[in-house]
Amino acid sequence: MKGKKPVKELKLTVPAQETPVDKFLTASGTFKDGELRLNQSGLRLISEENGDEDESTKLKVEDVQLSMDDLEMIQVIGKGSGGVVQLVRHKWVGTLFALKGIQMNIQESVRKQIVQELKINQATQSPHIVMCHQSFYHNGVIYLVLEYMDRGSLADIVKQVKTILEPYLAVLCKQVLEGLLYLHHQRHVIHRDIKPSNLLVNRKGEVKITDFGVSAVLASSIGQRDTFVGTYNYMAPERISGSTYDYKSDIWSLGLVILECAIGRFPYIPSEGEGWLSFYELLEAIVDQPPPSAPADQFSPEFCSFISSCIQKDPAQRMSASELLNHPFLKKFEDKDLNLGILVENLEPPMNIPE
Amino acid sequence: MAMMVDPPNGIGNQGKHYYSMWQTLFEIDTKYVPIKPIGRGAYGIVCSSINRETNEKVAIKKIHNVFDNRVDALRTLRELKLLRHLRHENVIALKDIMMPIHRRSFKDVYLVYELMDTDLHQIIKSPQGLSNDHCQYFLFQLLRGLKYLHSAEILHRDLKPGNLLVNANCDLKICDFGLARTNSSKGQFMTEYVVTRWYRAPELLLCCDNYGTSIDVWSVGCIFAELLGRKPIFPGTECLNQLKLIVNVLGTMSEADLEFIDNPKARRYIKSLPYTPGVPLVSMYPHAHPLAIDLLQKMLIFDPTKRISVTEALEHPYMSPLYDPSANPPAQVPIDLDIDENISSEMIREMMWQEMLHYHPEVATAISMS
Repeated sequence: MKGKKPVKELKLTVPAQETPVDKFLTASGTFKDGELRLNQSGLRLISEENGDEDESTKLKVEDVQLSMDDLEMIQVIGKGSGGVVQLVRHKWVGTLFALKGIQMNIQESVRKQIVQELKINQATQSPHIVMCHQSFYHNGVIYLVLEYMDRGSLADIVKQVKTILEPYLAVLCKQVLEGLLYLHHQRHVIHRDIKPSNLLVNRKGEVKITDFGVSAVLASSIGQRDTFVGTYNYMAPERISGSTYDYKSDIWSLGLVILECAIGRFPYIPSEGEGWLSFYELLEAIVDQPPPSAPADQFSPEFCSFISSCIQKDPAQRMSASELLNHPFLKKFEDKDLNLGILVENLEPPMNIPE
Repeated sequence: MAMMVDPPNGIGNQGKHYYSMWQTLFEIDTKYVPIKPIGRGAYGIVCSSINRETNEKVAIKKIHNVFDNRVDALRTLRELKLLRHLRHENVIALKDIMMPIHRRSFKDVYLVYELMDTDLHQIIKSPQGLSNDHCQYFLFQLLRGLKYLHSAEILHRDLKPGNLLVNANCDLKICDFGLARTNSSKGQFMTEYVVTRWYRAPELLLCCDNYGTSIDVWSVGCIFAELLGRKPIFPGTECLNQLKLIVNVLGTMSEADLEFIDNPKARRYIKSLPYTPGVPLVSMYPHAHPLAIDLLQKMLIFDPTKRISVTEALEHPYMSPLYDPSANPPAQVPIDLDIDENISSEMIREMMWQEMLHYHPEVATAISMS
């Protein structure tokens, strides 16, 4: 080696593999933490009394039918926060799933969070949350087998239709609020990333919330290569300014999403079409200026009131998910037989699936 | 372990053989014999191998479906173009790119690198003790490699421990040039967001339009701190949180320290943060050599115009046992790295093919004669 003086004989003991793996990884490749076991066969919770890996107290019948070997890869759907998402098909049944792979991080604090999130995932049962059918661990990657939403995300839809009419927005709001009600009041979790690309739609017109839990934990834990653009767009002002925040921060995000769908642009973009605000201009607009509103000359009083109830800068003034479900805007369309399927069936699917 | 398998559909291509690793099929030139999988990166799977013609060990990285994502395809192309020209003992060498069989329809790319034992991220989180000599030597090599890059006007733009490969004898090499750029990109506004969050310089966090080699120096400072403390110095959870962590350590900036911020709203924001006296680096790293603390302090200067440069860092007393100015010549020629961000996927494919030909003159000859 070049240098002014000869370098002392420096040596490293090269880690044969990531250490100390035996704390959370068995020789056969099973990720373990407390009563949780995760490997290529799926996720199991071992009863504490005997600790025998072969016994399981909560194995669902349907999960026996699903293993990684049963899935064949069709194509990459996208790269979300912390992971890659592939469209996969069950070889025997033909069902389509979205398979999300997330690189495991072995920092102890993060691993605990991941385990906690996996348990939440397993327990999550709501028709308004994207179903996680199974999870696997294989060669350092956690895989989540997610329900496939074949019309893509709300972001895909708004790209095509530009604006969505109030009746459809009411249907959309009702479903998302039911999902948030479940997360906030039954699971006691804040989503933290409600935005158009995390609200997925299928051809039946169902809207479901996705991308929370494991991938959200990982996104913040590994110093992701993220950006300002988009990161803070839907974030509540109290969270941006570093104050404590709670469930109602998700309501702010939802309000902005709905207003965006109504007016056809992100609410903080100047209407004159000057282009995007720089990040710090956006920050100032969100934190220091009055919140945006729905123009009263273009929208019904009920809709304007609904938006206002969501995007109060003071979270104490914001309505909760359960309160919003009783808002006059939703009540107004409650009895009408409206279906988002009518809206999405005329749109191009986000991609063509080879048969 | 790598397992030799029959070719898919029973039909193999001439000059290739097939191995399965981590449920992934590798179709590789027959002169390479895989040993075992050694990693799974963001864009592909890596296995160690032996080149039977030279008996040298190499790392083969398979990038699966390289054209599925245009941004990633551009990054791969950029790295290929760049690494072909770089020759330095502290920069990873790209030894070969395997020719695919089908020029116009290939989907996967197989890159052959020199094999290194591990990376600095693994070392930092392992129980391996790191003496002052270790830290000094790692830092020296990183700065020396970076000096070579900066002398060619190349910014790495994603320095972090995981992108620094090391051997058991403590040799260190910089890798992953997918985000690298020339410092004077012609007319192209550098809108692409760079640097993994924890290693991102203040001028990037404050949306300054013109940044330069100093962003790499900030990243080096963060890596150096991580070697000393065995954990990230600024583990921000979001961009704004990142900025707050930095200010909490460096302390509230004076007016003069903020003059480099050209965005008035960003400047207003940084001033709005609550006052903090900062935390002395010497108390964060009580066992570090005093000269190491002094150098680290100069690397983690908020204002990029006042931050130490790579050359100045090498000339710092902490580096004097290792640095010999006459032994570190600059890179020979500036490299034309600029790729039009708007080129088509087909053009990306063709340009990749052209890069491959540089490693296979026999194929180029055969083509020109046909």
